[in-house]
Amino acid sequence: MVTERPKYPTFREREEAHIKSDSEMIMHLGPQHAMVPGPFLLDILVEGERVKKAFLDLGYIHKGIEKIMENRSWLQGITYTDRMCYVAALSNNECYCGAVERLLGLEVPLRAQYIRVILEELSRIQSHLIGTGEFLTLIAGVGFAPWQYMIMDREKIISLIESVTGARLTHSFVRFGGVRNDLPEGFDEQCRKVFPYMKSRIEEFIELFAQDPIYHARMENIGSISPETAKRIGCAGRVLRAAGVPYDMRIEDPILVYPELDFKVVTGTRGDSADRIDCTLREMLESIHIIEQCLDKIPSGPIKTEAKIPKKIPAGEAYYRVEDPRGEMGMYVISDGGDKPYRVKVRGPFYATFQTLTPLLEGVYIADAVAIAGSMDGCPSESDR
Amino acid sequence: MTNASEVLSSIQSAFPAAVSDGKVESDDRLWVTVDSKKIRDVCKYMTDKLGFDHYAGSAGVDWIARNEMEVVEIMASYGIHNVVAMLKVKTPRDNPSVPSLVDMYWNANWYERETWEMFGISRRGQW
Repeated sequence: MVTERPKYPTFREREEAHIKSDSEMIMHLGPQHAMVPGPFLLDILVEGERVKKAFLDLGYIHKGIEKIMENRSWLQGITYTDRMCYVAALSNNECYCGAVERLLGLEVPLRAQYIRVILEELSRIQSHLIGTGEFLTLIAGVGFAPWQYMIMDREKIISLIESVTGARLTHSFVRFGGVRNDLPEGFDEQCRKVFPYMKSRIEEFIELFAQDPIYHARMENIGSISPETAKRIGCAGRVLRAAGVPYDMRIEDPILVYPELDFKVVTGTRGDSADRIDCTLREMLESIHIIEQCLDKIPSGPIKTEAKIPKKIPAGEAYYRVEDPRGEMGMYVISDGGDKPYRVKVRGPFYATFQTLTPLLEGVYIADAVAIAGSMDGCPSESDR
Repeated sequence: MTNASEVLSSIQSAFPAAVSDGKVESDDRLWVTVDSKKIRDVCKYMTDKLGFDHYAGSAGVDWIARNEMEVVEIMASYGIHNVVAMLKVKTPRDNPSVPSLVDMYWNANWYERETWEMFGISRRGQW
């Protein structure tokens, strides 16, 4: 028996099924729309300016990364993890390498753990900067100037990452049992030169948004989500933290040297768009705080494990979680003892968060739909993989 | 604080016939195979009694040599404890089908669609 595949409705069929009166219509906000960071379909059923129902679909840039990784050697797989979400390449690397290290039972040398934390936090800062900056262009008000500022500031962080990894976005930097390169000479001083500037800039952004009436009107109490609802519909990452739940993988599932570092999990109170952006900005300050501690504490020593990494990884399975800039990310890696992964399943952070967009959109204005979708800091590239 | 072996023994005593191959990797990871007929009950028990209030997704695995497919349900918790339980549900490769959890966990929807799209594993109750 073959199960019949349910048919996906055409635009016309969807109109016929859902439009109940002459005052309603269905509007496309995607796959091609100025607001989207990548292609996804968002059709909204509107009555006047109000959204009554939203339809979300993705798969427009499905890359088949999970399947490709089954046909590449274990080491080659790292380069594919980079490309799932190119602004969070380092945490994707970490997630995959961490899972393989669990399979191998490898210990990562302390210095390498510190280097990984430093780079992953730098990566978080640059990801938050571009995510927030991009989003600000979607709402009126202070929007456009900070976008330019954030991109300029992000350049400084990218340069720091580049000085270690040699690449701006797709680093392929983390290795099984260590990292590829050591920190270059003068990296410490460079960081300490950039951080005071970054801190003052982030505080400036927080102040700038606080004094802008248009920002308040567009953001506050828009797209609010209660902690109970957020948990029920499976949110994670900043969407959940903005609602006041301190759920962070760095605390829940501590990896590397995170348990030895002092940092706060940033939470909001209302769970609205404004809180989501506020959390993003304050999280960057926490990341800087983490990196500063790492620079103080980092020991000297090897950056790779002494153990020889075999070509064939022993059979077994592992599930490893990291806090991606976009939320909880997990990789489920299965080895059958061969030189390639038997299966790599990515539990992407944005795939989970993206799903929660449709209930948030019900009842809001069309213009707010854009602001809400943007404040989630989406990456369709990652959710499609 | 709950740990993985406590969770495993609790499930094993509540559903002695339905669970097998329990494996505790560390204090916060466990793997267990659950009978497909009982998966909904096991999930409900874990959510209600053991604090697994976060359904974190599911993964499909195609075991070609064993002529079966597996759906692995990933159960976690929003801060009650750190245990992640991986519940495996086996299904034959021809006409694979696993009960849907979408009425229990709202967010199971897309994960179930994904295993259908990628593996053709039908989720009874989803459509």
